[in-house]
Amino acid sequence: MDTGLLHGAANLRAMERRLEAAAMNLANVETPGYKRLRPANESFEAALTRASKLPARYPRTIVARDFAQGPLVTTENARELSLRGEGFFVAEDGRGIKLARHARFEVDPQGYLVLHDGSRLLGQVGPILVPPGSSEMHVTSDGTVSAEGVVVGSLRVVKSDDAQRLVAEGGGAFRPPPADRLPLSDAEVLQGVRERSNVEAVDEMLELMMIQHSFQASSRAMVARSEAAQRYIQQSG
Amino acid sequence: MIKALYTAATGMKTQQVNVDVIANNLANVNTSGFKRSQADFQDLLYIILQAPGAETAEGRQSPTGIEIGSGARLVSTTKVFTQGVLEPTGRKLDVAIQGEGFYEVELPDGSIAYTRDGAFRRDANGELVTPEGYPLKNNITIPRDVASENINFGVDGTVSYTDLQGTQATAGTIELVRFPNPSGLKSLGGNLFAETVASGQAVRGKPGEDGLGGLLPANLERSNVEVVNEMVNLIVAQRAYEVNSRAIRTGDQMLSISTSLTR
Repeated sequence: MDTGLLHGAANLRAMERRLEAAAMNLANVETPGYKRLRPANESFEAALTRASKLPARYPRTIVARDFAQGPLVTTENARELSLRGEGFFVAEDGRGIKLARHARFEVDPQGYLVLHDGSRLLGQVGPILVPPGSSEMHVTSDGTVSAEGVVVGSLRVVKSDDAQRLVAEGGGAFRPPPADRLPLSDAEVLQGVRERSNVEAVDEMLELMMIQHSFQASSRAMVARSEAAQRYIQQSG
Repeated sequence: MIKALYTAATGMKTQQVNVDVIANNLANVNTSGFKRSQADFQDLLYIILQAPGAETAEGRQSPTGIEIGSGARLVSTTKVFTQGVLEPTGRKLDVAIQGEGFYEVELPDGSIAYTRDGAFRRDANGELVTPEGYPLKNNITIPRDVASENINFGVDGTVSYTDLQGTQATAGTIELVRFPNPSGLKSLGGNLFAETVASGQAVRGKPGEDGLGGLLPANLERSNVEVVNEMVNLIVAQRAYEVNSRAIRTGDQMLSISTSLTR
């Protein structure tokens, strides 16, 4: 099989994957705590080390996640928490532990601090319980939570050993791999603050243009390659 | 590629809802006691083609997995219960709540609703009612022949009046309620809210005590909508809508290039 055609087709697939990532980022340009997908093409050298000769599926796109801090904006909502610095809030649901960059908490009927999906927000020692009927909640920058002026717990804020290995599951949540130790983080907890998405619309627009041009160039190359093959067949025939 | 089209479409849809919420806030910029809403978004579930750390065909561990996201969705609209600006009206029966709390009113069907709009009137029997005619839950009646200038509202909720003979009398006490999670209240329209499981049970108390606000007669609480903020939000929503439509156009053009590959 003509490898020129194969590499062309591989690039069409790679660009398709990049478009998926750009569309995901743009759809979440206003999602609090969203971390952008950062696609990159595998380098030529890396592809050669992966196999003894250049693999037919070259180039291919690898999608990593960019955990850079998003811009912080104040909201008037005292039940909205964000982090400044590297780290995640920890919540627990039926499937185990999950991590989130942005937390909008509520108090469930049992008095636990919960996220919108009912998963319990974890403190240093398990879920945080507030006395029934409390409405005034205060969270300091070190994560100490007080309800009606009485300290009820301290939020657990952790780092991941390798954030790239976190599995995103939507709803702003990431599942850490089971072996991850999750060391404590010293990120600053901010109450009434929203971390905006770290997607830059301008960068994604440039990416869209690049994707389209690269896709078009590869398709031209494939057509040229295929026409050359056709001429060769006619001449030898 | 078709996936990217749908992903960008979810982005456009969420921004559409965002504009709806902003439009409702702007429409209520002059509604007394109105509390603005904000739309909250989250990323949609991911399709995991390869988990991070999984073994590849070459027997190595892939440093990053392959996750394809499906877009964004609206997760909730939150009402923001910050204090609105208090505006003197000069009308004795306009009673604003300065701080946390709601008035408890009884609807015609006997159910209870809550409001922060204290523009009271007196009905044919002299009872204090909201502009829609709903009475307060612990009814307060002031004889019709007492002029509204002679009615006094104490910060602590006591309502007293001076009758035609010049004697002081107490008509009753206005109680306020508050909720563990006011953002969980259900909007009924007409400035009224209803209790839900999410809001928690109403806690009754005297104005000015236990974290409840005091009463301020001859004032109304204006809407807490800030026009400038809403305009900025509107611009942001429109741009977000636009960039998502560009992603759809790019996907469409790529589809057309692929179909022209074979002639």
